[in-house]
Amino acid sequence: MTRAQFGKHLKILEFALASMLRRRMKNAGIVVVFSAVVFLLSSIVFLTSALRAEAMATLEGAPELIVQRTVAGRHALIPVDYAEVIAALPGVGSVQPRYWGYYYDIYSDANYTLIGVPDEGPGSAGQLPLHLVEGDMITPGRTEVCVIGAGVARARSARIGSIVSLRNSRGWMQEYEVVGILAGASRLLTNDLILLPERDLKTLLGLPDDRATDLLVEVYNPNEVANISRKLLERLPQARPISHAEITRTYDTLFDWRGGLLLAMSLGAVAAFMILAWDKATGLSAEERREIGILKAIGWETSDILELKLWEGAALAITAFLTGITAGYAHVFHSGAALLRPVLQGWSTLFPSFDLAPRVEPYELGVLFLLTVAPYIAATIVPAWKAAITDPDRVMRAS
Amino acid sequence: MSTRVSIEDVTRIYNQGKPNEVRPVDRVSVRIGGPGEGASDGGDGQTGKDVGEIAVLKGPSGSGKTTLLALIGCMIRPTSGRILVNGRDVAKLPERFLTEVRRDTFGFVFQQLHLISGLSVLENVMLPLYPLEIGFREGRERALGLIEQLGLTHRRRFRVEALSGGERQRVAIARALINRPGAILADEPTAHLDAGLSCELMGILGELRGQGKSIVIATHDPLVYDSPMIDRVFTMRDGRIMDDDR
Amino acid sequence: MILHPGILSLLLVAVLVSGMVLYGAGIGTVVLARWDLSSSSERQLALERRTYLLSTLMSHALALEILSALVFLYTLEDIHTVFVGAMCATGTLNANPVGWWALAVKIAALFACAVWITLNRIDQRAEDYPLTRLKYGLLLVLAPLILLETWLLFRYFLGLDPNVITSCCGSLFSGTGVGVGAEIAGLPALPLMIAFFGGIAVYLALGVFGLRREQAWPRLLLGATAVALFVVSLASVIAFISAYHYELPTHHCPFCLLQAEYHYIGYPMYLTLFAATFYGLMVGIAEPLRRVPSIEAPIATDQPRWIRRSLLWLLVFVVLATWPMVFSDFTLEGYY
Repeated sequence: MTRAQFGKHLKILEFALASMLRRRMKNAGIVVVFSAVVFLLSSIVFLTSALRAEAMATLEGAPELIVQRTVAGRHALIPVDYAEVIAALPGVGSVQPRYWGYYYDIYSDANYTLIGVPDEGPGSAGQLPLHLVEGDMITPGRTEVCVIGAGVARARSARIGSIVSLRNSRGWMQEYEVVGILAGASRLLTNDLILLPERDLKTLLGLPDDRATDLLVEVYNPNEVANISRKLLERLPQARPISHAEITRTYDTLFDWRGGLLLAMSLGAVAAFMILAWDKATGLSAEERREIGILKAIGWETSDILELKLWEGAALAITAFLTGITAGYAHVFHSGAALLRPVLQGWSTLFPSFDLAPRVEPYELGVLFLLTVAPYIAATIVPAWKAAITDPDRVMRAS
Repeated sequence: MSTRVSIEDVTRIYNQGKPNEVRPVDRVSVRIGGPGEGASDGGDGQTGKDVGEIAVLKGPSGSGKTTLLALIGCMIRPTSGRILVNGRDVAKLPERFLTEVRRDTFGFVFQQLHLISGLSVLENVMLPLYPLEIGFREGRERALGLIEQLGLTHRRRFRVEALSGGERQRVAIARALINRPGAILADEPTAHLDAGLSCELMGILGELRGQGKSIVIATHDPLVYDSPMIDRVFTMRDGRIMDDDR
Repeated sequence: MILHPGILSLLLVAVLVSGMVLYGAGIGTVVLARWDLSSSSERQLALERRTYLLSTLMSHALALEILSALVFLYTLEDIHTVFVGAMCATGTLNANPVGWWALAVKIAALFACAVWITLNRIDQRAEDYPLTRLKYGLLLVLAPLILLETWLLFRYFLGLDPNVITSCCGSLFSGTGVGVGAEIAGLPALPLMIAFFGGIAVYLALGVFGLRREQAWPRLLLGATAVALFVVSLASVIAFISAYHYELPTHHCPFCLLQAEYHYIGYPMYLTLFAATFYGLMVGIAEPLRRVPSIEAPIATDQPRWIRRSLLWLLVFVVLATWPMVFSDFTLEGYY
């Protein structure tokens, strides 16, 4: 394209922008509706992928295999001596028992997740990627201390040095001194977390000495997980091995499915919007018709008018798209997706409040563009063309 | 250079073959612009002296003069016949190319002026240049030059709806001249003007004629067709040319 | 079926594009039947005006096709985690082999759309619209192609089952496996390298020659070479270029290049290869059309432009594809 040709397109674009500004009020309506559609869809896409990323972050560093025990089809405590049987399988590295459980707190009306910290410290295999914001981690040998998540700290108004009291399995109140407060790359998991020394946790929850909640199994070659699971099941029929890949896949499917379902339902809104866009683009005002007639009469060609109308559509779509995306971003990452949370979250009972880590990929923008702008363009081509083929002598005949 | 248009046996039919068929222009032949009838004319339009001319298409409303004006100005295609613009037959050209011929050759002044309100004088004058491959700055300079010639410099930033009738008329003329056309076509230009403004307009058109432009006016206003500046008058009735008065 | 935002958007766009092209083909049929440029009737004028609509529909269809091709690749990449055994887009495609067909038809449709639009542009520069019949005839081939693509895309995505255990690129593009992918991956690297670099050298030579001389044969040959080079380049990506990017002699996947780990290098690589091939192809396709007097001049001005663009994009592609061969310590030498 030569510079003069480029300049021509630029001039038509300039005229398109100017003429849209002159008709602000007429265009404002469609921009608002368009933005709302983009807002809805982008909120869904952003939230789904942020939640998926959060879930994946919690799985980071998790062992290749978790072994639980089921009795009567339900999760049951696992005998610690299973560990020896599993460790004897070829290809298996270390096997560690993990102690954890839930605690319902009547004061804050919330569920906490309690996790035991073994004497080796929380950094050992299978633990979560935890980061202290304040204070210290539980040091080996200390008892009656705890490290709490930011959400718990808020609910209990606890600081370093405060006392958190929990009711133990016998109904007595047990006091723990807060030595640290947690934050993680993913707040989804650390928010409602209380870490206790393993021994304290067992006492509090009343776990038998020879039982653990589950076992973390280190597997040397990730491709061998399926084989090892099979052998493990032959020896321990009550065991339920869950592979890392399986959890990832379940999360993926779960989030994609929920997000996709919501999106599919929102396509109705897109369809309705297409009809509105078609209608708006077809229903030119007498003023607009007159203007197009004048332009044709003074030498604008059909393709020039078509270009003008398409520029107008593009400007409108870009404005609405950016507005909608920005609003969707703010909605998901700053207000915690207040409008969508109840629909998507669902699998967990308590999130006092957590912020999702802001992230947007170009891919998501591409998908959103295809979902919203593409239908808009498709709906406005024919009306734009109809406007463009106005007879050039129309303004003369009208007189 | 003056533009020559020769219309040869042109008919324009609307709604052909239908009961409401009309023929606003019926087997018309006229020649516009260039040296007078008697002068030698190769038909290529490039030779001959730069002599302007004002021709008038006169007739009652519905006589077909507006349609003939549109045919001359390459706005519509004839149903049959030939139209030579500077020697080139444009009767069968697709609209895309017909528009190119039109915007290189003609400037239009309409009865209702048809300025775009909301835009400034300068913008209105520049409008025909937008789809052309002429730089924005060059176009702006050209427009400012014309605005100055027509005495509108102090009004160039005004929106056109804020102007007086005479000023609007001059804006329309500036717009018609912006593409440096060889011919100006005016459709009932005095219909909404009082006698004073009509005379002013004729004065401007006379000046353009002096610059060598061919001017065609469709009108039924005696003030125009009785003006001493008119070179030729074609009287139209029912789509036909009656006689060549002057 | 997996309900994934990317999949939804692709299916939606496929339906939109099919609708646009189908509508365009409808217009084309009418135009084909009634076109008569010598007529001054109002009907002919209406037909001429419809061609504007058709051009607009087609150019928008192409734009959406290009965008959706990128989103398609990324989606394949994104959902591989859902399938047991999949490590990249290869696994996603293997999960329902219709996907390979969908991909192939998509590439063909992209080229076809781009060629159609270029022919249309040439045609519109001549006052007698000489290519009208050719164009609208082609449209009747193009429309079924797009419909086929949409159908395949639906069959592919609706047939995806997360429980399918698929194979990853390692098994498909391994030098020892069976199947087309494996055969290409197993091709001896050295002969293919010679074909690839030799092909590029020949292409550049033809291009330069085509720019210097007005003869027909180098330009026709350039068009044919462009297509051949496209195929050789894809094979080379599988056989050795990818291995250099991964720094692993056994990793031959053409899709892992699209991953963030490799800086999404695959996207610019495939886009530039597409552009280079398209412009080269166009030079060859346009050559026989120069016999039509009214478009001889526009084609004569366009062809050198296309040749220059084709060479430029090809060079960018070669730089993107081969920089690790030059700048990395990794070498395939032992594997020739």
